[in-house]
Amino acid sequence: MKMTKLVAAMLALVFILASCGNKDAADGGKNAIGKAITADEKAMANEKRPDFSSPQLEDKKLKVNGLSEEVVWYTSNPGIFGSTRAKQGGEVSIALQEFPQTFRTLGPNSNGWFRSYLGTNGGLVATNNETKEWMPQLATHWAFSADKKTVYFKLNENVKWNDGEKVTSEDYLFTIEMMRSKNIQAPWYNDYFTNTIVDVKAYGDYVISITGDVEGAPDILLSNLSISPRPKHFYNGVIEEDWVDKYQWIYEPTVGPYTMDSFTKGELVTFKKVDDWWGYCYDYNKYRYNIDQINIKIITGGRDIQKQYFFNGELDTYGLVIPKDWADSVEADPVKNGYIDRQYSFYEPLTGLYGIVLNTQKGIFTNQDVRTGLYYAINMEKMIATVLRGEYKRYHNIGLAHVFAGVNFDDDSIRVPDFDPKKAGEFFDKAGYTEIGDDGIRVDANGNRLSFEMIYTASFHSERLAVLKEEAKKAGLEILLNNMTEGGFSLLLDKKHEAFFIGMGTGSIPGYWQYYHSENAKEQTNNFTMVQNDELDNLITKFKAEGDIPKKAEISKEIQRLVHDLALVIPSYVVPYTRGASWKWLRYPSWLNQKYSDAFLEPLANIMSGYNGYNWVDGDIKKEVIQAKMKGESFEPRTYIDDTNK
Amino acid sequence: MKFIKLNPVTKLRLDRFLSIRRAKLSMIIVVSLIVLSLFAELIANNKALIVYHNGKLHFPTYTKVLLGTDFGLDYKYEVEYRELKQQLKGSTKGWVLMPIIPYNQFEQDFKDDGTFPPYAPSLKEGHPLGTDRIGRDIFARIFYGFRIAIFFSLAFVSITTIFGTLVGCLMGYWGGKFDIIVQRFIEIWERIPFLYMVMISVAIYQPDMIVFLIIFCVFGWAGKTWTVRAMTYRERERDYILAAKTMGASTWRIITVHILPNVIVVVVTMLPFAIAGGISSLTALDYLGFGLRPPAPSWGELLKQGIATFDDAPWILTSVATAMSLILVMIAFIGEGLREAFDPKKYTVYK
Repeated sequence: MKMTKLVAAMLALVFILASCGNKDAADGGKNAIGKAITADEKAMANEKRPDFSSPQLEDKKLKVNGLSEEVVWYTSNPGIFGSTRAKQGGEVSIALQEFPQTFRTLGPNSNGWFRSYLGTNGGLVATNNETKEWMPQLATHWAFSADKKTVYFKLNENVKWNDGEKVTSEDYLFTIEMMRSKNIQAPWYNDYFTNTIVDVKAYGDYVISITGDVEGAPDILLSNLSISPRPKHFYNGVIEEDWVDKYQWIYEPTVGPYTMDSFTKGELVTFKKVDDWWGYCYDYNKYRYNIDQINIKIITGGRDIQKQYFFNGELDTYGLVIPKDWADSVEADPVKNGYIDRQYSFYEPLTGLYGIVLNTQKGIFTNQDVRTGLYYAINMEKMIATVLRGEYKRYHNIGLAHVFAGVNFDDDSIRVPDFDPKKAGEFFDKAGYTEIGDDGIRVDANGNRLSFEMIYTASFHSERLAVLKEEAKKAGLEILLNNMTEGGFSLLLDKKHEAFFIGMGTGSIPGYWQYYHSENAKEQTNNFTMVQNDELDNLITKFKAEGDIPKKAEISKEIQRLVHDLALVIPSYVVPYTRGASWKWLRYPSWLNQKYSDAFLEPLANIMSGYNGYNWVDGDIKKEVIQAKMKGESFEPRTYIDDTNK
Repeated sequence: MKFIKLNPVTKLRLDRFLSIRRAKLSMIIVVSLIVLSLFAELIANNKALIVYHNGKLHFPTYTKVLLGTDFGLDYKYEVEYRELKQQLKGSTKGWVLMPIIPYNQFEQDFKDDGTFPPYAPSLKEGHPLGTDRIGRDIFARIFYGFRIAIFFSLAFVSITTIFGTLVGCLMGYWGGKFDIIVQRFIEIWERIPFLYMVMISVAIYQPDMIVFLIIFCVFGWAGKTWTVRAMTYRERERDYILAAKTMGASTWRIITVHILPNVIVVVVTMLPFAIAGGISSLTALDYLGFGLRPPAPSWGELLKQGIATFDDAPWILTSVATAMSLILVMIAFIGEGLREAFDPKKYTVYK
């Protein structure tokens, strides 16, 4: 019986393989004591959350000659935000799923995640991520014209490009020229810098004015007109016709604290700290951007592979937002042995369009009753309670935490009903799907099945959506899932979808025109629901033109209510926290995170948005951890939780 | 064998095949698994086999969906038979007979006790091989996945073999310009990497099962022509073919009646290996995420999940790896047996 032996041997092999996982954990290692670790943990325990406030102040001392009108200059004086425990130096490695398709920040293929590492120019003013107040950044002062259309900016004279050249008003004039150029192949920017930003004028080297298309409250003007400069000297003042090709792999100098040092295509991009960075002239930048070198390692193969790299020590920090990842991480050896700390922080999640968008011009969704019935037939609660382990929150609207100038733009009273197959059935009956077919799916009098295809791009969403699919059967509804990692989004832009599981970013002021105006109910726009509704159009037009913030917010709420009533979107969930793990030597302030920022782990991305760069590498702790690891000793496992904004 | 008249050569081959024990055994197991998988709904399913309720018998497996209201319950969707069974337990109203595995391949079993899947194998819970990351029964997914994989592979192999053999025969028989042109075409066609092409097509077209099969076949038939062509070339010069020609037999008749039976040996011995190849390709594509649409049960998806969760749920990878190796090894044994049975060194007979 040769075969039986062979099969038996194979089975044995499989079981041996199966049983030897995770047995080499250093369970018995004695507790290590690190001097530097103990000291810093003590200091951390005593560290208070700083005063983040930065109220706008009038600066009467500033006089600028040559302006066409008398203006009042404003500024603010934020204090020190960073942690005084921070140490300078060191290097960290983080993971990126794929090598960027270009180093440009404009033009084709430039809108990937990597862009957040490149476009670090910040704005003329920065938003305070705790209070939503304005802070000086590339401009020290700002002032408003009497006609409520123009903002004057007094530029910070210290600001330098990473190649050493000073940033002057010339660069801003050039920015407009560049952004309007057809050669950058970026129609959205062409449009914004032509129609929203109407004019830029210079008054000497360090004062500029920017004019918008409509009158607006000061906060709206600042939000619309605080642009980022582009280096005129770098392009010799000309955007050539072949700009897109020529600058495909050329890194444009920025004004950020880091600059690209080197790269190996497909493998690695290295960023280095800029010597004597100008930004330290502001207190709020002190004790920030502490790390000397940041390596972005390209690690393909998905999150599971990246997680292994992290636990093997090849990455210094890794986000663990997904509930299962977070729960499993407790079991990882380096976490159990205290070499890796975990950080968990709540924040106000600014959320836009998040959920299942229904194409109102396709299939069963042309019928309003079907769409309303879907509110009851999609069991989002079960998905959250099971696959997401109850850690995400149910989302009810198309906007959350749009707080602007102290005014909430979201109608938080909107509630999506709970899963209720009976109630769903009533709506489906009304829509004509009265019969239940042999397979339990409803059909109408013409034999059309109550069935739709849902497209989604992230393959790890399969598990979440499988729950919805199974539950929908109870309402006689069939969902066909279609994972399109590639091509999904372009299919969405072609409006060939019936339903799409989506999450879109948003700004402080929600944008409705692109998502719900009938003018955009065509291909290559963001009106994914293809809605054409006169009432909605009127509200959106009114919303766009309104310059008064409280009134604007009221219209915003009306729009949200109408979108809810039309059942264009089945909202999915919001993630009210951000969390992850870092090797012990990557240290954080005791307060971890600000109220409106979601990326405290991130040492580099979107750095000039003021989000991050608060962490640092402690070389002494690194030595202690590595020593303990070599000796097989362990530390007390640590999980830091900041629930200030829970 | 009394009832079926077998050609003596075929009978010799069959006897030879059956005398190879491991081939015979593998054949029996694989064939019975295939047959069993046709009735997977009776083995792993959330629908009851038989329900006896208020004096009426129901066999819900293959009939119209029975709603909760049919059994006096207050919901108008498919009866939850496992619950019904609990409710009827001890009552005189009726009883429910569930399949051995009371879960189907899609259902997510989440416990209410605050624990989350994957759950370890447990006979008591009805999950003999445990569950996957969202509580779907591994046995059900492997078994239904087997059904998809084997029938996909069988269809793929039959289509490509029939087409490939036909083209090969014609190339060999007609020869000349036809042969040269088709040869060059196949040479080019074959250089196109099969798996890459399938991956690219899948990424672009997001096909369903049938289109997926067509894509497979379009890029998979070319390799099946070469050996048949060579064999036909040899056969067509033999006297019996010339004799048939002189007697006025048509090309179709010569190819099907005279040439095919003599070249089929090569094709048949290649078949099991091609089937194993089909299963592996499908699994590989699923593993890479280019295969069947989720949530279709597939071995590739299970392998992927098994590797990702090996540390905390070793049963996923263990089960699917074992199932896959066993099936592939058994198919290889069958192939080996066939090759020996058809070995021309043993029985060389020309028709």
